[in-house]
Amino acid sequence: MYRTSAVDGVLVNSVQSASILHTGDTEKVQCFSAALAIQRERTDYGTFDVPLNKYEIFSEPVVVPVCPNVQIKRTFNACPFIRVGRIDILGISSSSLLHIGSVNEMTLQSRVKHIRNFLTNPYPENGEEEES
Amino acid sequence: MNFHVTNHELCVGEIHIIGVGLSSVVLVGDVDCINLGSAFDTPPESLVLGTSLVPL
Repeated sequence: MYRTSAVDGVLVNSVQSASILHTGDTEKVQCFSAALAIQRERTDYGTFDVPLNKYEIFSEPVVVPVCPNVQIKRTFNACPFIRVGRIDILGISSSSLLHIGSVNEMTLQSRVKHIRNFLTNPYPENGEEEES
Repeated sequence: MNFHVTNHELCVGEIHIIGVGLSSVVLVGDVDCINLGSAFDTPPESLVLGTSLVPL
């Protein structure tokens, strides 16, 4: 039913944070990634414990339309190959994937929370305006 | 309704991509069903002052 993928060369620099580089056919793919990106004014080295469930973004549901099971689709492969010369990717990250081959079902999800952490207020003028 | 698909020859020379991020897919092949979801949060409240990062 599915076609055969033929790739001559793959060049990937980095694969990170719940990402996949997969060659071959797959029945089901499920990836999940939760990231807390903190930009700090001062770097404190050592252990860093922040419970993710304190933030709403990691618990609230991400609404994704569900694919109906389509029975009416008929596929005829006149050419049984998908040919690609070369794939050049710098980075794959945060529950993304490069897949060479066919997949039946794929479910990916990622949640990112950005925080800017300052020790002193970098916008003191704006803060005074809000208070007055 | 009948949905009939005929796949003829598919030939790609080169693919150059800088980055694939936040639950994205690069797929060389066929697929039946894809579900992708992403939540990204950078509101103004994400500016935290002081040493305590965890919300109350």
